[in-house]
Amino acid sequence: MHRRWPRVLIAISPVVAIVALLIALAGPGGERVEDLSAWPSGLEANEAPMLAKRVAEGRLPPLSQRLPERPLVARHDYAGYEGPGRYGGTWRRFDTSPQIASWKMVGGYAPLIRWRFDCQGLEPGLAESWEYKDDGTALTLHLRKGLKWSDGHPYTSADFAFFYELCLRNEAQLIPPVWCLVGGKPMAVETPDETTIVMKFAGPNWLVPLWLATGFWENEKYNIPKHYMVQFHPRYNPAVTAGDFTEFSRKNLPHQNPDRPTMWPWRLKECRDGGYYVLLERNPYYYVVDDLHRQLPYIDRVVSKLIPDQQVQVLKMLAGEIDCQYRGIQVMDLALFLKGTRSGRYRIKMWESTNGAEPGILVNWSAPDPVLRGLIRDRRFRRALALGIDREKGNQIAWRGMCTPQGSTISEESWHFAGEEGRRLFEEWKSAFAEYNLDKANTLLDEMGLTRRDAEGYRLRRDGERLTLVMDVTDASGNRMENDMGLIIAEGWRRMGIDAIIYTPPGAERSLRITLGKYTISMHSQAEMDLFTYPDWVFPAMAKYWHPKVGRWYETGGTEGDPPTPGDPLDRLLKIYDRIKKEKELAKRHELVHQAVRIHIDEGPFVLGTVARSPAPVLVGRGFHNVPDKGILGPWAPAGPGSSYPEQCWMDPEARQ
Amino acid sequence: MISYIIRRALLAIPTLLMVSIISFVIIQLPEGDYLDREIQRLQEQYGSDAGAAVRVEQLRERYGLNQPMHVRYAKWIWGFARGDFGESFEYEQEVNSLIWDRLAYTVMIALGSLVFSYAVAIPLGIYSATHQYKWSDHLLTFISFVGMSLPAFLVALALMVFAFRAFGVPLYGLFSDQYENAPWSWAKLADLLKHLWIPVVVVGINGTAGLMRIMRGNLLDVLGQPFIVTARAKGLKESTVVVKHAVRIAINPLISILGMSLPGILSGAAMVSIVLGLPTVGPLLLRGLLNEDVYLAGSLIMMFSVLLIVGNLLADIALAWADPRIRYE
Repeated sequence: MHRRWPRVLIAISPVVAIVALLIALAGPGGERVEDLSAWPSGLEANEAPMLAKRVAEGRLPPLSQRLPERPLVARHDYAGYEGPGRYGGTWRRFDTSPQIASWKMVGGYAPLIRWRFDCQGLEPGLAESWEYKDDGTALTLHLRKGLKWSDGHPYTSADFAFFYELCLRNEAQLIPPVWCLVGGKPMAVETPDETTIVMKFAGPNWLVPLWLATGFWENEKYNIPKHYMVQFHPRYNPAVTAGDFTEFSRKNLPHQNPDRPTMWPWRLKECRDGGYYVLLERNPYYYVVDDLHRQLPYIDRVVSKLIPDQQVQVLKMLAGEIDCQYRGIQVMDLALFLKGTRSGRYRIKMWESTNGAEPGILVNWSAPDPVLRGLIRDRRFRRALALGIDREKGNQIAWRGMCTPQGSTISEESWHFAGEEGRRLFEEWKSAFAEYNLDKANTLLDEMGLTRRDAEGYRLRRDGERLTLVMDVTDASGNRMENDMGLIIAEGWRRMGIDAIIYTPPGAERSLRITLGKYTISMHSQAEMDLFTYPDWVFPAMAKYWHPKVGRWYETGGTEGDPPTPGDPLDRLLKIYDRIKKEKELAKRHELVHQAVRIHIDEGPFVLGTVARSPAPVLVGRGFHNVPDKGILGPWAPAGPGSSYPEQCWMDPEARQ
Repeated sequence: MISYIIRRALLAIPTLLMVSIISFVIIQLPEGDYLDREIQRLQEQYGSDAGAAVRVEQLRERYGLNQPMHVRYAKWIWGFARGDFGESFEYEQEVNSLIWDRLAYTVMIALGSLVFSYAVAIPLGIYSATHQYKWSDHLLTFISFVGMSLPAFLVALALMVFAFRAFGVPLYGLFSDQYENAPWSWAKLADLLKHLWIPVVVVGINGTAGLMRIMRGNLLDVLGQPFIVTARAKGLKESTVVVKHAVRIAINPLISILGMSLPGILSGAAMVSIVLGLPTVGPLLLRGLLNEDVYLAGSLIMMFSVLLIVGNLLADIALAWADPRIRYE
């Protein structure tokens, strides 16, 4: 008997041996770090030690030759700004797509004209100033003198002209952008000198500066380094097969090609494993400085890893392996993250999503079934549906009470509603038909003559069929909150005698059904800051949301889709949008938006509201500074948080890995 | 033997063709193609302008997505045979440039798990059989049933949570941060091994438990046979009887199972890699399937199939080598 234990040990010894061997093999060691201790990194330094060293070694021109004549001074008029920082450090973060889209929202914002961080207007970017001709048919942009790409080559008006030439010739999948067309005619671009870009339009076109400032994707399109890209262009390089832009398109990807010069604060240094490991390093020619005229960014490097699994993202953040992360925390995990702050590894700053409906319930104005279409176009029907939504229950169950029940709107912080009058109008919009009142809803349906019911108590349509609404709902694995909300809404509608049927098509199909107008009821989260450039939630200008068929008609110039009936709300909305595009005065443009919202209140709702304004938590690691306390992380178009100059963030030396 | 191997290799070709056709079609069964998904993603993130539709049409042309499916299939499979796997839409790169490193890590984990499960299961199975119905046998039986019934991804998740609670480090990836970007060195290799044992053990656990039960059962069968009684009667040492006479016979089914356990190990490795964020083909394949990134996902499925077929062949050869009775049939 006494031999039994040793035998067990012998039996499991191979396991122990393997594990022990593997653990024993692990030894210390690491990457060699460049010694920069001879160069200052504090406030006395005007540039990063790693650059100062290269200047001293003659491998880089001095700072004065790298900065433009009048560099852009980063603004920091927000709470949470702690002051100018020290140079150095590596910012660790993660991304969820190989296109590093969520990074580009942070460090991919280098537009000619910028959105202000508070989303209340525009400010200069690469262009120092801009002015319109009085009739709005020409826009002149004045670039900063001495701007340089990240390889030191001058950034000039020729780069923009090159981009536009590609568009006009339809090369490399580029076409004239929608904002440069007036009545279908593209603009003409002239570049009288290196720093002047003149755009001439076929008619008044007042919204161009807003488009130039939009998100990262617009400036990513027009910031093409001509001097580098021409080597892949068949018209400039005879070695390239004529008409073949495959290589050109590939080399033009800023998130994949480290050789492509950029205007970003950090340039791409390495992109491995198809984007699973991305390393960015400071752009030595970056054109933005701080108050003390010290070159930005403060942080040397950014490491962004692609982490597809949400639970792993959570673990990495909780463990303090992420220095700062925007758009990374799922609201449902908030309690866990707040609890984790006790570890002291990070703080949470509560930003706002500003979403106006999560989700907005889309009611297809051109529903495929003619009887239902007739019902839907009667505003009483849509109002009854809106009154049948138990928003409080949805908030408590789907969102754990973190949102606010309200009617569907765009973002409350939008500049259209900044004034006194705007505020009042917005309040009215958001509370219109936002109560849960089945009695009222039933009265409205009865008024419409939908009084006959079948044996199961469901209402009958005029043609004798049961009143059935098929609702496209996001599947639970895609978005649990929207899925829950769908179930709660269906319950309310059934109690009104409407047979609501839940349908959960796979992701792409659901959105295709919206775009092609095949759905009756569907859902989509709703947020927008600027209706001038992204009008679709209010104006039926594109094949999207609640108006796919009419939107199609409008965007194709009347060749496809269904035209609006003259005098109906959609027709009136589109006429207002046409006027906005031709209106010079900003205040009047806002006023036109107010008129449109008035139509939404009087004739709507067109999108049914549920709950709104989920928080958008930002994770800020220990020793990471200058992240604004409040901000907007909802709609992408106004470019937050890139518009807050994240190149001003800096890290404590002891917090650096 | 050689003609047997050649025959098996030739049989693999129609099998692979069938696999390729079925996977190519199934990946694209949902309505819409990759670019529809892409548009949806763009819209959800930042809305889209009217130009997007035109741009997407041009991309569709460039990727050949506007051609009928059989034309695309023919092009792809012809390229595949010559080593050109096509282009991944999502990563905007040649599939070739994406998968080889990852395949290597996948094979490494799969082989590691195989070795691990056999190295653990055989001794424990023998021990369990020779101590039938003793408390230690019951304990091992209990553990192996638990091991068999726990899905690998759950073990991986639990391990992650445990490691995080206990040591405050997330088990993630195959390298520590400082080595991630470093060139290959002994230290980096050691770092890799330090991370590698976790997925190896996790993936191996299910297989180990099952193999242990099989080893135990077989050995018990063999131990009851007359030639064992004879061996004991000859006065051989008990250890010689068990190891030299009984185990040699009882181990044969384990070798033929080798081929069958490969699919489990490969898919286990894929799932565990997704959870642990390992740079293997698993996460790539999952995303490829979700996004209808058809050339990427199709190529990966083909590579998996090739691995399986080769693995099965090797297992059969190993069995023939180990068991003369099969060789001479």
